[in-house]
Order: sequence, then C-alpha cells, then structure tokens
Amino acid sequence: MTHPARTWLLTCSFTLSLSAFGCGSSDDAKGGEKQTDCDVTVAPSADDVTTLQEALVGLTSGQTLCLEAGSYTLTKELSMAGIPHVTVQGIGASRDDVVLDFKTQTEGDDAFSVQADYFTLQHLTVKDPRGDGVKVTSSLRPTFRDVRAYWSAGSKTENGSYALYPAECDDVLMEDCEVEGSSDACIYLGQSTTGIVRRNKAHGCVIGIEAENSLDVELYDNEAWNNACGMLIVNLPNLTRKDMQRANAHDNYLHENDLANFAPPGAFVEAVPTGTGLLVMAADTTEIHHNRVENNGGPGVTMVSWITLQVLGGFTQNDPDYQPYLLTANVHDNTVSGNGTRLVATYLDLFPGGTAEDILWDGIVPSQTPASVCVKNNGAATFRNINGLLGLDDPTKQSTDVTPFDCTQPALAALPEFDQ
Amino acid sequence: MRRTRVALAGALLIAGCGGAPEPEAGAPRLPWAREAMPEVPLPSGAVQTPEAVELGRLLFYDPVLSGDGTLSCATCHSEYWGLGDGLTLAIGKGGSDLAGPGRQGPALRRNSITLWNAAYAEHLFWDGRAASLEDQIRFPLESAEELDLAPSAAAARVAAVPEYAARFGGVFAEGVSVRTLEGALAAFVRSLTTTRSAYDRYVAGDEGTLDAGAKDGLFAFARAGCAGCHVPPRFDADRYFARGVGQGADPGRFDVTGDEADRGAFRVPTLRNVVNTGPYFHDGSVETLAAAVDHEADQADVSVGSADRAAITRFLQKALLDESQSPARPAAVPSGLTMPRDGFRIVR
Repeated sequence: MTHPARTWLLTCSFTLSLSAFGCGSSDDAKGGEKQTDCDVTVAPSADDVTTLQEALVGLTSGQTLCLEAGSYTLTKELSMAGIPHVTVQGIGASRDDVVLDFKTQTEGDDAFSVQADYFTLQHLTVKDPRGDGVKVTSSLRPTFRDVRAYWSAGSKTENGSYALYPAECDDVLMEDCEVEGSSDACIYLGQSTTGIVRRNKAHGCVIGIEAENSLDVELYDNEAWNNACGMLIVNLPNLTRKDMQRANAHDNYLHENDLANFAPPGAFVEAVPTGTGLLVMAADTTEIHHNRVENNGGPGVTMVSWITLQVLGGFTQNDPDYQPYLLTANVHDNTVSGNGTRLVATYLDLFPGGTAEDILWDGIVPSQTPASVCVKNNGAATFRNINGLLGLDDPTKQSTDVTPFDCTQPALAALPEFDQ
Repeated sequence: MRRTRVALAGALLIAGCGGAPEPEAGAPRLPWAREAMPEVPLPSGAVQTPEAVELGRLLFYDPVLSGDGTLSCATCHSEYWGLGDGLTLAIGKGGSDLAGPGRQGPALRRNSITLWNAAYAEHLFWDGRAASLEDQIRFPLESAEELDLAPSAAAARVAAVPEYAARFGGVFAEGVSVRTLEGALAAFVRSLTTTRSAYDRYVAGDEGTLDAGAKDGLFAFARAGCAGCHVPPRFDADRYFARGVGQGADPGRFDVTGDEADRGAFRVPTLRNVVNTGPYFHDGSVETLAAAVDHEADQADVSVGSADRAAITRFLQKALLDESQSPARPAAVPSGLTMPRDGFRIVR
C-alpha cells in the first residue's frame, strides 16, 4: 500500500518529466480557461482509488488530468466538485487503452460523480460500475466525448441504470461515445436546458438514447440497435425540472431494437415495450426528420401521451405541474420501414392482427385542441392513428390514413456549438 | 480524515509542484478573513471510524428505528432533497407511503432542517434543543409524531438483527446499547460535510473557481451584511434570531431558554447546499432561494438592490454547492424492512 501523499508526489514528479506544463505554476494559472495539455498525469498504481481521487482533489480550475494507458482498479466511487474548467482524459492510443474498471467497486452509488462547471471527460473507458456510470449534475456545459462505458456481463437487470448521465445541467455536449448494458438508458440527457447528443452508439440497453424533461435538445447522427427501445424523448412527472420541449432528432439510425426489456421492477422504463424504434411521450414541439428507423420489432416511431400509459399500463401520477399530452410533433422525411413484425405482448394488445405500422400515434389530444401532429414525406412508411380513447376501446375507430396529417410545421433550428 | 487528505493534497500542490499561488501573495480576494473549513469537532468518546459511519448509514435508512416500521431518518432527511425532505413542513408518523415533496399526512410544526454540516453545530434543531448529535437522536425517536419508539426499545430491536449485532460488536466494545446506537448515527451524520465547494477552492487560492457572477455575489453577500449571521466558512452560526417569518405562533428558541428575547427566534441555518434545501426557514414558508434572499435583503441594514440580490443568489447557488459527500442509499437494510420510497423522484 502506497501512502496517499507519496503516491501523489510520485505522480506529480512523473508529470514534470512528461509534460511541458509540469504541474502548473503561478505563471500558467489559466484563469478558468479550458486547456487540454496535461497538467497532472497519473498511471495505474497499486492504489488507483487514492491515486485518482487525490489527483482530482488536487486539481485547480482550468487544469487537465491525464490518465496513462492501462487499467485502473477502482473499488470506490470517484468524485469531483467545485472545480470548473477541468478535463479528465485518457492519453492512450484510443479510449480502449485507458480503462476505469469498477468491477470490484464496493463503495458509492456511481462510478464517477461530478458537480462542476465546464467539465470534460474524454478518450477513456468506464467498465462495470456498481451503479450508474458517470453522473454530472447541476453543472454548466459538461462534455462527454469519446467515452466508452459498458458492463462486461452484458445486458443484466443488476447493471446500473445509466452509463452517461448529465442531469440538471445547461449546455450539455455528448459526442462520439459508445455505451452497452445499462438497465435504463445507455446515454441519458435529463432535466437539462440545451443539449447536443451526436455521433454516439448505444446498444444492449433498455433505452439506447434518452432525452427527458429537457428544453432544446438536438439528437443527431447517433446509432442505436439491440436495445428494447432505440431512442426515447419523454416528459415524466415528479421530476425537478418540468416539460420536454423542442427535441430535434434527425439523421439517427435506429434499427433492430428487439432486446427483451430487462429493466428492474418499478422503473418507469419497465413499461417501454421491446421492439420500439423511437418513442415520444408527452413531449411538446418535437421534430423527427431524416432518420432511418428500420427493422424494429414494434412500431418504428411511436408517439403517445401519458394518458395512454395510464389506460394501458395502470400508471398514476400526482404532479400538479405535469403536462401529460404529446403536443406538436413533426415527423417528416424519415426512412421508416420494415418495422412492426415481431410484436411483444404490450403491442399485441394494440395490434391483435400481429403486425404494427411503422409510425404510430395514440391520437390523444387535450380537449378542444386540434391535432398538432404532422406526418409527411416518410417514404412508404405505414401509419396508424389509434384515435384516442375511442380507438383504444374500439379498434374500428382507428385509422391508417395519413393524409389528414400531411402538414408542415416550422423547423427547429440547429443548436449552436457550445464553447465548452 | 477526508479533510486531512484534502489539506495534504493542497499542501503538496504548493510545495511539490509550485502550482497554486501563495494565499498571501496574489490570492483571490475575500471580503473577510481567509479561513478554510475547520476539522469536524469530536466529543470525547466518539467513535468516528469508517465502520461506525457505515453502521450509522444503515441505521439511518432502516425503518427498524420507527415504531410502526415504516419511517426512517431518511424519510425526512433524504439525500435526494438536500438532506431535508423538500416539504414545507415535515410529515412524520401517519404519512402516506411515499417520501419527498408531495408526501401527504399530518404535518409537524417545522420544516426538516438539512443535515449538511450538522457535524459542526453546537446545538441541533431549529430551536437548538439538543446539545450534541448523540443527544439529538432521541428527539425524533421519542416523538409520538415521528419515529415513536423508545430508545431502549430501538436498541433492543436493533440487537435482535444478527447483522447489526455483529456490526455493533465490531465497532463498539459494549455492542448494541442506546449509547452506541446514538454513537453510530452520530458518526454517520458527522460524515455529511461539505468541504469541496467552489468557494472552498477559491479560499484555497484557486481564483478561477468562481465566475464573475458568483464573485460579484460573494462581495454583495458581504456588503449586505449576510455574513454577520451566516458566518463563513460554515455560512451558519450557533445563534438564534427572529426574522419575521411565520405568524409568531411558534415560540422557537424561547421553548428552550424561557427568555422572552428568544421568542420567535430560530437557528441560523447553513447556506451550504442551500440551493437544494428548500423550502426555506423554520416553517418552510418561502419556496424559492431567490425569495429567501429577497426576504433577508429586505431586512438588511443597508439597501440591497436587485442586481446584488441576483448576484447573492447566484453565489449561493454556485459557490456553496458541494454534494460530493452525499450518502449512498443502501440497496437493502439489515432488518429486511422496506425502506421508505421516495415517490417524487422517478426510480432511476
């Protein structure tokens, strides 16, 4: 066992030999500006928890902690709070070369919890967290870049709910990450304002990519396959931040999401039926365009209100500030094909014929409010409008005619690049 | 222990690598004396080992300590809600199944005060009626409206759970007793400290941890006189004041001292993690942090303009936030009872 102080000192000395910036000096105080050169560099040691945690505690604003290639054995959650503009990055040849291995973790709920503005995590792998993976909460402009996170046992109920989890943040960037095995969402962006989720790969999870109770979110160029549901855009009750508004999902590839739902009992996502390509629930102003949603066992694109969950799933909620309806969805110029031929029980209740359409809307709208769903230019995609509670009770009241929804809504603007 | 490590790392940074500026030369400006968070005071005889903290953590979440087996300490002091409960007034025995904001049931007379940094308080509760962490634990236990279980009965119940008996035996020579029950819970609460906030980093010499807005707020906080009561670095005080909150029905500190000067006076709570500890004041009557700042600013000796109020709010939100030592909720507790479910936070 190396004494913590000794480990830190060795680490620091090592850094001096590796980095032109050494450990930083008063001359190169960065005043909060983001740098990516290494200020502190660590390597795997006999006591990786101490090595990494002490290095994190010792950082000052604007510094970068670099992790040399190798596997770091972590028995305890790492945490960092209150230091803005910090980057933690692997410096191996690829993210696979730097592994934070939590297989033997016994302490802490998550692998790495962060509460600090302008935090960046990049170029490394997080393996087998005991609970959730990397959680960044209540922070401004967090970045997850080129991070792999996975559970080596595969898709198991015992796995943590989320691998990459920014919540209650502003200006989130999640890009070029790959996640496998979460028992809720591989990649989650929740209760946040403004977020970009792009070029990620998500597979082997209950939900591939989830945007929840957030405002102004752009999800694009992602690929999600072999999940129970490829992508979820959702407004849920009883959360601190209310409403899911202005999600712009485009150019994603959501395919073969047929993994049996393995969420733990009691989790909301337990109710998400296997085989769903993209599910939008109770969101306001959603644009879904130029996506490929193909060969999912259930409907490719499903749009529902909370009311449907109440009726079909027996869910209840008691949040006075909750908006339960799907409002204003614009589904256009997608390729949605080959979906709906391998229905699980939940969908079979809706589709007793055994097959489902590519695009599904439950048809539930607030009373006195005209339908605000547009479905246009989606190639040969088939469509079904359940027509609300009428159609749920009597399938003859449902319709597969998409022409009433041949309308156009204003496009959501692309979000600007953040200065992370 | 943890604080020692933080201090050590900081010292090494300066001595070993020459990284941080000397506090005296070119250190970030402060409107008051530079002072880091102190060590947690330990009463004589207290056992503050990791094993004691872990034992206390299990007890904290375990409904074995409630008469009807449904409530735990975490019902009213949840890590989800700033170690309070998110309610205006606490709801104890007879409440609905779910904990958290929206919980229904007979309200107690006061807001659940946060446990963050309770380790430092000379007296506990809004009225300061408990003289130590060990002492305070019997109040909710004995209250017929709260846990409603005599301490001796609680100890007997705990002793009957083999895992507890073994754990207590490993920590305390005398095994399970009322005294060691209090000791274990106190050890856990002493671990709930905040020492890594942006403000702490700033005090340690890292100027960049506070952005311009928070820095403005720091100085506005001082100008408005807030620090006279919410004394840094703890941003609280073992003092009691009447701040014009509520209708005066609650005697507050008077109940403890019998001094008319204390009528309607309540403890100066910590402002660390205050962004997550609302609703505010002893009666939870102020819902938002901005409104709480307004309430106090209206009573300041100097005029506090809207820009300063906004800056103070930002300082409190950003600079004093540190939940890195937030406790982990156990997956199960040794009694096998069902832990109170926080129904106002989606299972995740």
